[in-house]
Amino acid sequence: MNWLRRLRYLSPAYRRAEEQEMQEEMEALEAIAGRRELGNRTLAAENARAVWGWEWLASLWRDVRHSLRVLARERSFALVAVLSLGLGIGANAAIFSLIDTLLWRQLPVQDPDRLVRFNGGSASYFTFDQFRAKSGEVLSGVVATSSEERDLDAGGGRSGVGSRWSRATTLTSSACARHSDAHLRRMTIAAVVR
Amino acid sequence: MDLLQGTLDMLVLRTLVAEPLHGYGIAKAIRASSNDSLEIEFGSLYPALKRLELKGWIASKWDTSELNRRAKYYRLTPEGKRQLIEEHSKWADFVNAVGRVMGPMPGEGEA
Repeated sequence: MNWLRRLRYLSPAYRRAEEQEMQEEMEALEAIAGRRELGNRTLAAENARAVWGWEWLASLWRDVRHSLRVLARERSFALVAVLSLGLGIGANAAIFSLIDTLLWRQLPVQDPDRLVRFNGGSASYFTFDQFRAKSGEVLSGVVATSSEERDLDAGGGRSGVGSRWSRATTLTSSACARHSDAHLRRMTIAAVVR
Repeated sequence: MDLLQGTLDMLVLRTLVAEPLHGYGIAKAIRASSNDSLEIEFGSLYPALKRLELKGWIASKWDTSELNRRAKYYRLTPEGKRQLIEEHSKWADFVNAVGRVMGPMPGEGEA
């Protein structure tokens, strides 16, 4: 296993042992061949160490330590760098989460692909009532909302029906008959397809 | 003579077929079998040995040399032998292909 052998070189103890072994081997060869015959021993050892394959990690570690030293020395530079990075990352995260919610994520409801909104601008309560009454085979539920905040008297007390989706059943016909003014003609209708 | 990229590994494997050798012995053997045409620098041979050892194609152990000196001897492993067979056929194909393209030197020996 090539990678297993290579992994052993991550251990400093193993690397030291190999280094020792390598120096011994080269000394033995120099004894046999002569120093001049072998040439640049330091270069040979250097290239052999590169074969172990963790030079990049060692140099990365050296870079990290160097940059930490520089940052500790240049405090104001470090502060500006950290601030601008923080602001940049924060702004990106904010924009991303906005786009994510608006464009990519589906609505947080059960079966979001069955939820539809009626196009064509606003509708009146009458339209909504007709949809609710006659679309039983196609739609399993119809809701309406008005963009205007307004109190709605649904018979008993007054209940605040704001710009939230109001369940169709809370808008009774009688309540609507009493409030057949402008805002009930400007409703947005949504439905769940069966 | 300069070596093509990757040829050194193949030469080392081929040299170790006959018998285990130490690092300097391998350099000498390659020089001898190429009629002194190939001079292998120890600086490139030694890393190549370590590379082949890491790949598991050769294995090493300390032994006593002919002049009663200690040295690390490298031998071919079964895996290395398989690799050599593969590289040998690739090399033969390469030599054939280049030979066919080059042919005899044009304008010589022809009227």
